[in-house]
Amino acid sequence: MNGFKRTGLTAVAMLASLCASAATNTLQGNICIIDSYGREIAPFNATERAARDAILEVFGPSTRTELQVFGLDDARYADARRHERYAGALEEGVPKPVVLVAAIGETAARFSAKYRTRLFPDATIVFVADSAGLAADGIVTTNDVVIPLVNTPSGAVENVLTVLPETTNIAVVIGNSDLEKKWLKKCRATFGPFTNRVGFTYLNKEGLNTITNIVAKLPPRSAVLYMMMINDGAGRVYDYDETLGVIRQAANAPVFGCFESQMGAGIVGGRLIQNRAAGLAAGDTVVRLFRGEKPANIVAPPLASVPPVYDERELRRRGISERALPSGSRVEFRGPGIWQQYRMHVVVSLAVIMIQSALIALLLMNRRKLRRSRAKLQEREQLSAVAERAAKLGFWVWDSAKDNVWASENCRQIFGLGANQPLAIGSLRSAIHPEDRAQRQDLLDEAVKKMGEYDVEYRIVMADGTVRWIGSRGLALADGNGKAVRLCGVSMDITEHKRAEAELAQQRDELAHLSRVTTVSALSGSLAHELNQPLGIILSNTQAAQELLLQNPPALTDLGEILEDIVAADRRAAEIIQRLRDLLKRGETSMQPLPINRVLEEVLHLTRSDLIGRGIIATCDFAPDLPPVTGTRVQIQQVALNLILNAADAMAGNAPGCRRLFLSTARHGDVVRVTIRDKGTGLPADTERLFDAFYTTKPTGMGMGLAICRSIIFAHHGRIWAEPHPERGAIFHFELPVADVSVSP
Amino acid sequence: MSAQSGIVYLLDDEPEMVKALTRLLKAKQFDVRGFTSVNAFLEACRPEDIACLVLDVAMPELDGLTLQKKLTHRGLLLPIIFLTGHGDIPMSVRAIKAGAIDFLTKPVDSVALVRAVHAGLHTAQARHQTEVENAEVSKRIATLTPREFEVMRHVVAGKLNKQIAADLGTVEQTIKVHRGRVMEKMGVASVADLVRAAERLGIEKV
Repeated sequence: MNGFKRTGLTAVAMLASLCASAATNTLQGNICIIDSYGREIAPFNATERAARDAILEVFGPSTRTELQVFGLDDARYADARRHERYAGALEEGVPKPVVLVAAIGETAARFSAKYRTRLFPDATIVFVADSAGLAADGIVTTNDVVIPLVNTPSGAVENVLTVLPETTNIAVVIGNSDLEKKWLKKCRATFGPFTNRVGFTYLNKEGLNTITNIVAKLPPRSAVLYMMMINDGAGRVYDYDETLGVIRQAANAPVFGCFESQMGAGIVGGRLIQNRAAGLAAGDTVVRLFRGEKPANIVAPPLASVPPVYDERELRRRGISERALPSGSRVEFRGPGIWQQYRMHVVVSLAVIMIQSALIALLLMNRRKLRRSRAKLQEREQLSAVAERAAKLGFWVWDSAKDNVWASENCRQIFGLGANQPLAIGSLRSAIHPEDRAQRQDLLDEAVKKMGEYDVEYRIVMADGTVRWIGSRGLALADGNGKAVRLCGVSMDITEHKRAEAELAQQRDELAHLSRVTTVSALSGSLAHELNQPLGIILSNTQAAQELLLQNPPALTDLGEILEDIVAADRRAAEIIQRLRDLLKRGETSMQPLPINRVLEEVLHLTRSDLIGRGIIATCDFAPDLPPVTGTRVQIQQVALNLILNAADAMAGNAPGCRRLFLSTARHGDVVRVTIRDKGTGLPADTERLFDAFYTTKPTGMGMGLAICRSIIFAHHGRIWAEPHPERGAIFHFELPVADVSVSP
Repeated sequence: MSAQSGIVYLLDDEPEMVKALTRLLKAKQFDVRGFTSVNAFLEACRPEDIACLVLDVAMPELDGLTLQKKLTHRGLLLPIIFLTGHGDIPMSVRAIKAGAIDFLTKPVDSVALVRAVHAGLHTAQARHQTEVENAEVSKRIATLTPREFEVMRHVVAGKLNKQIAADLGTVEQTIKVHRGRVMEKMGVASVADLVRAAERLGIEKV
């Protein structure tokens, strides 16, 4: 539906309504469309569609007015008896109350008139059909409106002959459904007068494939007249004029159509049946009636006198000159003109030129930038050399593909190489201390493989034999193919650092030892008890044995067991003494994989009698199957001992029975966590301060215990912290990393 | 020393210790029962047994002195010998004051232990004996009539028959008769014996 027609019609309608006498009030109710065929039956669906769109534009889904469309399926199934059944169904289905009905097509018109009392007694009907027949049968009442629709292909052949006077053959494409049979009759009747001039071939009995073949091979001076294709001669069903495109594509002659709704789908054009316009008019009429206009006041717009219309694309394709068209014709679907086509070329060329100029300008700018950054780079290089020297760093680059090494001046100094000495990777490697070579090489290889960074410390032996420690950090760089080709990095002489580290470690060890001795000596009372147990067992067993031997006869049966028990007790005593010795020893740090649960149990053994003496009950919740942790046994025990004794001290004031100590171990990812909880006096708010040196809450305390614990745990790459228990007391945690395969000192 | 009747209970949380001490005491002909758990011991111990207890002061479940109080509450008047790994004087004083027989330090020598056990059993025996005798006297007193009981009380107070008659509002002759019956029922020959019997049961003098 093109805009021109629409505005024209709307203007007419508006004028008419303005001139109309005073309109009554708007109707209250719903609207029905009764369509003779169905939505998919082209070209007749165009009428229903146009009517529906026009109505919905005003009474859309958001309004309270309901619009329902019913198709009578008459195209393929023309059977009056079905109508009775339809009427029955509609009686229930219509959206009551129905005030307006649009009946599209003759079948629908007659149907609506026949059943109107049953279905919509109070409704006004707008008939869209051939008025002659309807009026004759008295179907139309004064309460109705008729939109006359000329439904014969009368102008079709005339049109063909006007445009192509030479035509001698017309192939008529029409199907074989019930409706199409009616149309075929109409065609034969209408085309009758032309049969002396043109030979008509009706393809209603053929299947689509055959039709396609036929129209592809038409003799010269032929034309195709496409009526409709609902069911083809072979019985296949088609919807929506889908065959028109196929026919148009295949035909070697111009394809003319009959209905306005076919314009633009491949027909040449002409004076066409205004099926869409009729539908639009019906819709507009319904709207006007709904708004209260009287049926008598509505004048149907003239549809027949529409000038012929032609599709420019088809004209061009079929080689039809516009001069052949009748006067007053309109040509639509014009493609872009010659001027426009060329204009595109010009535009594109201009665009290309502009882009090229832009590129040139960019390149020029880049060159200037490049010059500037070169200057900057030089400046930076100078700065970096200065920085290097100041920080005692040495930059180097090793190119593995060419196997050469570049080292900055400072770097050469660090490694004790001459300023101009040529560098070969072999000689550099040989300077590395033999013990460190393997590890360093491993790390390097890994970085190269992973295209990543590496960080390594190793010793080198200088020319004069002195050993220095070097720390290197590097990065592997890839060439264009992604292979690692260059290593670049920075090295630093860390000999002093290492020395300081070692000293610090030593001091820490000494302090730890001192603290250990102090702590252990605090246990001396309970340690004595611990030893007295096995000694007592030994003594009693021995004396029992003596007694048994004195009997007459000597009772020897139990002797074996007695001696076993003596030995066991002896061993126990020895163990305790050994542990004591270990604790009191100076003990260097030697990191081993430790079973943390056993280590803690040993500490508990040591403190057992002390705890009992103080009335403290220790409960353990050790996670089974813990992986070993890396650490020095004695130092870990020192930490645990310290925490346990602290907990015991904290609970000294508790009522007996309230002195409970909880130890637990658990794995958290790649650390093992030890937790010691007590029900004592609790912690100050700032738990971090606890671990500071010289922090103590005891009158006779030195305040070093927790500080040393922290120092030990840090040296073990773990962490230690405290938190108050929500109910009462304190919770101390320390974590140690799970033992790994490679352990670094 | 020879064997003595009575049960020796051993209570120490260390099984090895219990084993060793049991062996030792058994070898010395004592009837020894060893326990490592307080509850097991309390269940096994019966008040009517003649027994003494060798107890480790420092046990995780219950400290020894508290246990002693518990036993007293239950009426288990066992003589207790304390063993300790600590040689702690304040503790020993507390124990002795609470009625312990003895307080020994580990490693405990057999001679000291046996002597203490003997003493314990002896005490137990004596207590038992006293119990038995007291029960006997109680039975006898229960056979007295209320009148006879009253008379007994006056007699035990040292009053003469004449006085008693006056106090109780009756004649001397009647008192004499009562008195005779009391002596007979109580199974005593002299007033002195009667007084002792009364004292056993803590009967109040008039």
